[in-house]
Amino acid sequence: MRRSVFSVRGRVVAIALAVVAFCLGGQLAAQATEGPISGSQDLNVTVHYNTARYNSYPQNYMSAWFSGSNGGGSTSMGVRNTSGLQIARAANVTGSWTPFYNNSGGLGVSPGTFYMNVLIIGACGGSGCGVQNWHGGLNWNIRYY
Amino acid sequence: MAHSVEQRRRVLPLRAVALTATLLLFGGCGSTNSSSSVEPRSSSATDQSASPSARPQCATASRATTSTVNATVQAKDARNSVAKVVSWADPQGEGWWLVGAISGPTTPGEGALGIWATEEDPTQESFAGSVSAVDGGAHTWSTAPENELVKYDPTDVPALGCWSQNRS
Repeated sequence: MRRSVFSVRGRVVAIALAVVAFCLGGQLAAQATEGPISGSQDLNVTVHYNTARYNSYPQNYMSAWFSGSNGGGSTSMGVRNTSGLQIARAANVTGSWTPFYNNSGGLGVSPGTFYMNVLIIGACGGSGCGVQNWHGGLNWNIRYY
Repeated sequence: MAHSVEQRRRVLPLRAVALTATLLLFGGCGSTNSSSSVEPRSSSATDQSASPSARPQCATASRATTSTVNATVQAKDARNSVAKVVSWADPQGEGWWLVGAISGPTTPGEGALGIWATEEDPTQESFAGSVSAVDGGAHTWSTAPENELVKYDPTDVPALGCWSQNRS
């Protein structure tokens, strides 16, 4: 009899652990993501990039940092949805993490697949107006309340 | 009887654990979002700007058109190329928009797209028109002349919606 009860306990604990692991796995899949971004482009024109990423929450916080040569100008990054509409923008992105704001001025970015738009404003210096190589970092899929 | 009470004491906590696990499972694990997968969901959530009347007319451009676009890219840097071009017919009748991914060693990282415009139907194999550079990608990575054909807002480009739908 005692052996039978122990067996039931073992099964219950195993099932409970499996459920907890399943739930934890689901949470991890939706966690924030951070990764490098980079590109090359002329100054003073917007380039639409082709790498698809995904925000899974109803509202998502995003931020980016940028490093590149623009002669003391500024860099704007946009978040573009699959319809080609820019739905969020980070202005004056520097070496520090800079948040994206949606078109209403809030910090929540709509869910779904997105791509990056990048505009580097700068003056042509002694090296001319050649193609600028840039790199940086991007945070996305951070739940925003 | 005493044995039965002892047995109940052991089993009751196990029932509580089982009940909790069941509630977790059927309650969606207390999930922050039931669609937490990194795979894209239905595009309806992201097609905020697309009303039925503004729906782009998308098509894959002909080989002749792709060849014309590719020629302007390779004229800038022979190591780069455009293998596929998607077109969008401007509803205002100002011509066609063309979108292609520029691949090659000088377009690293995020992978640049280029947007061009043309006056001739790009879906025709007999295409013999010219293309002009609309966005920064086309400006940076091709020798096409500056666009004067279509009105361009870099923050709202329906032609890029065509590309998202037909990129593969």
